[in-house]
Amino acid sequence: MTRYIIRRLALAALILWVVSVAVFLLLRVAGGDPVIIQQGFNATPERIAAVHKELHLDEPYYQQYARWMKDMLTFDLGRSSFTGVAITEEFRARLPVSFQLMLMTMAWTILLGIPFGVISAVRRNSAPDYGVRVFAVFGLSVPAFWVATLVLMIPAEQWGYAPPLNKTTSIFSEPWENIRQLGPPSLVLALAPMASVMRLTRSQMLEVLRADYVRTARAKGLNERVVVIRHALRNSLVPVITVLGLQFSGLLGGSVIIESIFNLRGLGQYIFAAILQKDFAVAQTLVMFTAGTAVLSILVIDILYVFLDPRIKYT
Amino acid sequence: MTREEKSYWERTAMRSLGRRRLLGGAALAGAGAAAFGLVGCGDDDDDNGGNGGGDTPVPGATGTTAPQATPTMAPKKGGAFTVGGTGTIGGVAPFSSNYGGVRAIASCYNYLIVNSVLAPKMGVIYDLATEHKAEADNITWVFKLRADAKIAPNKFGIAERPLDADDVKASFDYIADKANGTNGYAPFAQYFDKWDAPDKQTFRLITKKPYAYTESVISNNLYTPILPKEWIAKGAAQLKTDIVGAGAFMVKSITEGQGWELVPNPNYWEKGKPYVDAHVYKLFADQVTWRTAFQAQQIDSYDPQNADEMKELVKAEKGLSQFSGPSISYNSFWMNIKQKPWDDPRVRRAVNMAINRKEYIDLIGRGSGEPIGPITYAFEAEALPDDELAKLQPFDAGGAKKLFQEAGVSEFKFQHPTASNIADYVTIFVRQMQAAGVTAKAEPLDAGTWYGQYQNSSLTASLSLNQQYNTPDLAVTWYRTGGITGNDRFSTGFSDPEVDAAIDKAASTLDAKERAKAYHDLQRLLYKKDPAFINFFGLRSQSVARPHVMNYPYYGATNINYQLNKNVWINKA
Repeated sequence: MTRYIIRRLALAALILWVVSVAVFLLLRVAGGDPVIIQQGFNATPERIAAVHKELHLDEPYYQQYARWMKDMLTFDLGRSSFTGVAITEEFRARLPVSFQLMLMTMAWTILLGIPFGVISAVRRNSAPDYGVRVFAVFGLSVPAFWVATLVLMIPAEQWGYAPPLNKTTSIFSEPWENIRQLGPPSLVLALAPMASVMRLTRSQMLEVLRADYVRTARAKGLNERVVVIRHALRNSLVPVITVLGLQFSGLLGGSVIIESIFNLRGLGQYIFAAILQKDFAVAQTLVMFTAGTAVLSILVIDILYVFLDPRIKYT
Repeated sequence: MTREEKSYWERTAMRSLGRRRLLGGAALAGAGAAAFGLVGCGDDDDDNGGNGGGDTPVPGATGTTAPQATPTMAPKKGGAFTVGGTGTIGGVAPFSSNYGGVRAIASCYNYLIVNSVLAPKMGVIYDLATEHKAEADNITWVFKLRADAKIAPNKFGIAERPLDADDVKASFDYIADKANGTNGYAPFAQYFDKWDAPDKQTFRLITKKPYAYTESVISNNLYTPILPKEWIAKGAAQLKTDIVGAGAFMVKSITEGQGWELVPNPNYWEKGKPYVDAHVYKLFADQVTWRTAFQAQQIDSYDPQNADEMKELVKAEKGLSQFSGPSISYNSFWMNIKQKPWDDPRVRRAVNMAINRKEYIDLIGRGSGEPIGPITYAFEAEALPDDELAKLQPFDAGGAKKLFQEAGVSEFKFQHPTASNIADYVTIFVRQMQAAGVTAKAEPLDAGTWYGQYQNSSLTASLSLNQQYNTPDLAVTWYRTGGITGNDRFSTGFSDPEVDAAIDKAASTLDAKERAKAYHDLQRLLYKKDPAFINFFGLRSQSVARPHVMNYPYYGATNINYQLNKNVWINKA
């Protein structure tokens, strides 16, 4: 197991290095001069050259890359070239928002997706099953940004109500405000993952419920709840957990639009703005963070398999 | 105990009344809810002037239902004036900000005077200066400065001393230094010769030649804020993230991606002003969120995108103050005459003839807007009369088709940034060119790439967004040799000595009537030369505010609107 983890960590480092090279180069070959965007309409060529020098953009790519890597490895993330604000400062302020949004999204996904998937399977071809299946198709087919816009606009149009749209709230100091603020976006963001988890749980459960050992459990006279939860559900969860892991790692990317619509000051909004503004320092750092989160969560899921399914062993 | 110091449970108890009021209000709002309207996205900048202040509305502004301050209503102290906007703050660099930060800059720094060609009835409002005059030579301007302008308290070690003429000189020196890349560099380089500070309370500005818009340029909140000289010496990086000035407000907090909060400067000379305890700017990701926040009572004002949207809001909420007036914001088509087919004047003329401006007004402006020539209709005197404009740039798809055929052009490429608010322009433009027999191939570029290529003049042709010029002379510099900045950046390559001379003549004509005639003549001349920069139409701007916001005078799209927030007061119990 230890060897496996070490091997996976080495692979993760390799993946992150490839990502770092890709993001570094892609941002630069995409065209557009960040300094021109930042300095505005009237910046003189002299001023632009001076800022290029200040930001080391006049150096060859390999030197720029080496400088960035050194800064990343020493946790010196620098400043946004667009706003002048330290990246660590922004990161510290925005990470809790995005992290909570992701956690709440996963909570909705797990708390609603798995139970409804189980109900759908256990009560196959009944009204609840049809309801869950229709909802799952809806969740997968409608774009989250459209639902988000409606969720925001209809209450505002009808009742003059909206969640707090321009403040950062804390679950610890303002729990109700915080839930008002992050509840709707997390629910919207959870729609698609919840739907796929419902469908996957349902199909896995249907397969497992037909398995011999479930029939044996029933023949032993076990309570149906015990059969479903202890015998069927646990064995259905391995692929579901895999999907949950992948969904979690993809949430940061998915939150870009939702954070923008609900005006949440999170990392998604930050990365979106940075890319548009060609703010290399911010965009590179955040893409690396996103990639790191993805790699790490996939690793964690792989390790979790061992605990969920004792048959799986890593060497 | 302040609000921040109260526990959650104490605050919850305090809010219970608020929530009941919300539910009551929700029932009323629900009863009168309007139909869902189109609200697209758009960049913000300062095109609508939504949070203007002062006491005199812009000419042409209409429709206010606000219970505005009257002599019998004494302004109340306290409360917060909360406004919103889209886009980004982009730092608060006082001399080069092009984004939302300019609103804070204008509220916290000083200007010599406040004046706009677009609000002639307002006249000159004195700020740092208490009087000014032009000498008989018409090139020397003398400003007498107040002695009681005192720098706000700050944590940067800048003494709370009076702001004086040396500070004005230092600010002007900074603006005029080419290396600093300031917003005001172009008019400074073009028109201003020298300046000095004969004594602490006197500042003297000498222009290169008589210049009709001197007062407008030094009032422009993008160009000429006055900073303490030792603050300027701190350097560009410091100026970009913090503000230390002697204006009516000072910064409490600036949060990129979220907004800022300003509080009164205790050292401000006009005792009692600003009236509000806080001026808050909230940043929203797009127009939808901004509107939603307004409907949910989270902000006091909102700038609808068109007249229809304003009607919807007014119908849904009784008592809203509504404002409408000319906007200086417009979109254009830019052609690089160093590249084919734009080097052929017939092609440029054909594009102009193929553009049906009425369709843009109907579809984008929802019927609210005016066709414009080189000078927007917002400059009432300098713009050409509508009937003449219609003759000089007629919509004639058949004629355009003939010209395209004569020039042997069946298709052309043009670039545009991938901003959401330009998609409709692209669609209409392509369709209109198709009607004139040519295929216009749109090439979307991300905003950064587009801007870089635009600045380098390496685009083939482009839809150019959100042109805004506070004086007619700046708008027509698009047609001057060297382009809008005078150094070939953003340049179409168009160059004509006769046009250059006409531009100079118009800006140097001090008599208003003669100047208007000079601008009319200039525009007639431009049409003869088949210009490479064609304007579409000028929108009207709209704004709505809650009735408790007093002195919310509407200045349309002038660049003076943020300097006067000190006059706003909140009429709430």
